[in-house]
Formats: sequence, structure tokens, C-alpha cells
Amino acid sequence: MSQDAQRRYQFEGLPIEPVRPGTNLLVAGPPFAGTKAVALRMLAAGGLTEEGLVLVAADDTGTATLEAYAGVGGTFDRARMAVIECGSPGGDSDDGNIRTVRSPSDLTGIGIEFSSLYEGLYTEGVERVRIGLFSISTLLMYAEEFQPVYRFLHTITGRVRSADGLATCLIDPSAQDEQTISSVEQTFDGRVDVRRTDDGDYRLRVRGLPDQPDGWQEF
Amino acid sequence: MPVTVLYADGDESGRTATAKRLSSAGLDVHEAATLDAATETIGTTAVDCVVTAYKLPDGTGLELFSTVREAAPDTPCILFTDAATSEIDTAAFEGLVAEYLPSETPNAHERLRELVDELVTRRTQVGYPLPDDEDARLAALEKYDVDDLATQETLDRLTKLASHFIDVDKVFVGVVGEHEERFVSCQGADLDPLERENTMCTHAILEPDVLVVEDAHEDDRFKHNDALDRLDIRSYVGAPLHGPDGAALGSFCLTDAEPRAFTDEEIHFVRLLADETAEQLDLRRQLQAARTGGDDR
Repeated sequence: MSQDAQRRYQFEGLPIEPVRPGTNLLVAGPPFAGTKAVALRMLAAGGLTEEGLVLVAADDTGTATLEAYAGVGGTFDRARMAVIECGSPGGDSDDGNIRTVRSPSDLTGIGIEFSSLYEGLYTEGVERVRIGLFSISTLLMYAEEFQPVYRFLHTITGRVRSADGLATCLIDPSAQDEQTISSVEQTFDGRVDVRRTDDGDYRLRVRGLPDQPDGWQEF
Repeated sequence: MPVTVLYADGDESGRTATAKRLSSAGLDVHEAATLDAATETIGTTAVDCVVTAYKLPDGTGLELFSTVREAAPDTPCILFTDAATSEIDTAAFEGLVAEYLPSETPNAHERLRELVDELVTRRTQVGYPLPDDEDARLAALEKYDVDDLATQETLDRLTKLASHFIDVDKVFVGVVGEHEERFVSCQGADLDPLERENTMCTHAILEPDVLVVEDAHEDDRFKHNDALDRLDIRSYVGAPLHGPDGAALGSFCLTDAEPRAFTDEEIHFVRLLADETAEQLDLRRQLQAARTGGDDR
């Protein structure tokens, strides 16, 4: 048990109890509620020994995503992290940590880069990989059909489950209806909803996972 | 049954070595030296996983995956290649989604075998949401004989009742199998089996109660689904058929070519018919089990 407890992913500074390895989380909330920052913080927190990080940046440049990650306290060793950016206006980046795919609609391309980075980390001895996907809403907006998006999400969540990883995947409820979100949610182990109250406070709520605080929590 | 793998690579010595390693790990490997030969295998053989080099003598691995996604869309695809990701031109293949494993990875054969295993057992490349209890659901489904003549007559009575009382084009009982949905009782049209990723019942079996789609063109999950348009399905109400252990075997559903709303009364009626269908199926399963002295639970 104690070994299991040590292996759990911890989220310092967020009202989320540790989760077991192999957990895929859907993080749902509008941009103005700081939802992306929450998803990034969940990847930034915790011990970093023998861990790697892969971020899929469909909604921003790779450089901006790395800055946002550093901005929330992300401390991953650059040798063990990478970003996949999807169609940057300036073409390929010089940053060795950034891989570029043509467009957010190119799910095959994103998937291949993802697998390649993942296999690379695995080969270098990284035991567990944290994954951030920003965002499912962007992928859905660009995709011509829904089926490839499910296929892509199964690919990511399958890798996380089989290798004791952690994934936080962002979705924006103001861009998708609730039916679509719950359909996507089926592929995940749990869901973190993020919102900003009228008074400007930030709240989150965890659903679908055991031993989590009940209802909306301030953070 | 062993896992069946189609493995395409033009380089004979490399291909033979990899195929040998996979075979000795217990996989049933079909080798192909060209895109043409691999495509032919897809047409004639049911395979659980497709592994290919990127460059084939007469095309690319992505062309092969295109054929796979048409013929058997759930099949996991793996590029096992010495081509770098930057050499892979995905422009015409954006929606395929495949795994990529560099063939020069240390222990590449071992990793490939692991990956095949993971993708097949976890169903990692299916284009639709899966129920949490999918393995148990499929195991439960195997115990039912829905094609039995007496069962068929019972189901036909129930679908006829629905089509008599609710004004829609089609009524059917759909059984959602591992890769496709079969329609075992239809009013209004005879439907051929449909790939699971294209059916609304795939989504209905995830619902605790009932799935209502008033207009498929206004629903993100279905608006780009050409198969539904071809079948003139624009609106839908479907209730899952729950077995005694709760697993959803399929659904009882009504569809129409026009967008329409369904009243609470209509939805409730569909729910009742779905429960009756599920109970009829289960009683017949128990009867069959009692006759053959098998497991009747």
C-alpha cells in the first residue's frame, strides 16, 4: 500500500487528492476560468524522478505552451519533455523540444509524433510520462469527422493506462455541448470541472475518481 | 485463438526476421511484400492488427491503413519503420490515426509485440466511445441466440407495436457486437450490418436510460456521419437493452428521415419496449440453457 501511495500523482496547491498511476483526466472549463493553467499545474506538480512530459499544443505555439508551463511552476528537465505544435505560422521551430505537425486536423501526424516522442522517452529510461492535450475542443473544431478524434483519444489514454502515466486533456464547455463532452468523457477515468464565480473566485470539482473532495472547492 | 497480424514490408530479410519473432511469441503472422499483396489479404482475411513499413515497393503504409479504415475500421494499425516522422507525409491521411514504432528502437521486436498486445486487448484505435464493461458486455452477448426463429417472431411483434403507435420511418432492434451492429428485427427497411463507429446505438448503449437525437445534423457526434445520411436517419430515439447483469446488448430504436422531437410519452413507450425486448431475450437464453443443461445464470 505505501508503495502504491508513493507512486500516486500528487497535486500540490490544488484541492485534488492524489490519483493512481494510469489516470486519464478530462479538464473542462472555459478559458477565462484559468482552466488550461489548472491542467498544466497538474502536470507540473509532484516528484519528477524518472518521469517525462509530452504536451500537445493544438491551440497555441510550442514556445508559448512551454512558457505557460514554466509560468505555472513546471520544472521538467528539458531533455525529458517535448511539445507537439500544430501548424505554426513561422514554420519549423529551432527548439529541439518542439515538433511541428501541419495542422490540428492532422490527427495522424499528431499521433505519429506523439508515439515517436513517447517511445523515445521510454527508450531513454523514463518510466512514467505525463501528457497534456490542449485542447480537445480545437481538435474537434478542425476535424472533419468525430471518429478520428475518438481514435486519437483512445491512443493517448491507452498509452497512459498501459504505462502508469497521467493525462490532463482540456475541453471547453462553451465550444461543445454537454452531450458531446459526456461522450468524450467516456474515454477518461474522471473529470475536473473548473469555473470562475461571479465574485471572481476560482473553483474546481472532481468527479468519477475515488476519495476526492465533494462538490466545488476553492483554489 | 491467436492474435492475427498482417505484416507488410518489402525488405525480405528484415520482414522474415520480424515475422519469425512475432510468430515465436504466439502471433499468427501473415506476411506481405507489397501494398498490393497486403491489400489483398485485408480483403480475404480477418486480421486483429496491421503492421507495416512506411515505404512499400508499390506505395506507402498509410495507403494500406486507408484500406484498413474502409474495410475494418476498428483494426489497430502500427507503422514499424526506419523512416523518421518528418519523412512521413500525412497530408492525404489526416484522419487515419496509427501507432508509430521506430524499427531501430532497442528491443524493437519485443516492443512491437507488446504494442500489438496492448492495442488489441485495449481496443485502442476504435472510432467511438466504449462502455466501461466492454469485455463483460461482449461475453454476455455471446450467450444469446437472437437469430432463433421464435425469438425473431417475438421481436418482430414488438417492433411492429412501436411502428404502429409512433409515427416514424423505421423501428429496429440492434445488437451491438464487437465491431459492428446487426439489426435483428426491422420495420420500415431491412438494414445490413453497420460498422459500429457509424451507428447511433453505439452511443445509446452508454446511456443509463434512453438516447434522443432530434436532429443528427445539429449534433456534433453525428453531423458528419455520412452513413446516417445514406440510411435517411435524421432523428433517433433508442433505449439500451440491459441484460440481468446490467450490460447493454444493443438497443431498441426508432428513426426518421426528418428532424423531430419525441414526447415524454413516446420516449417512455420506447423504454418499456426495450425492457420487454431485453426480458424476452433473457428468458429465451435461460430456456435454451435449461434445455442444454448449460449455465443459466
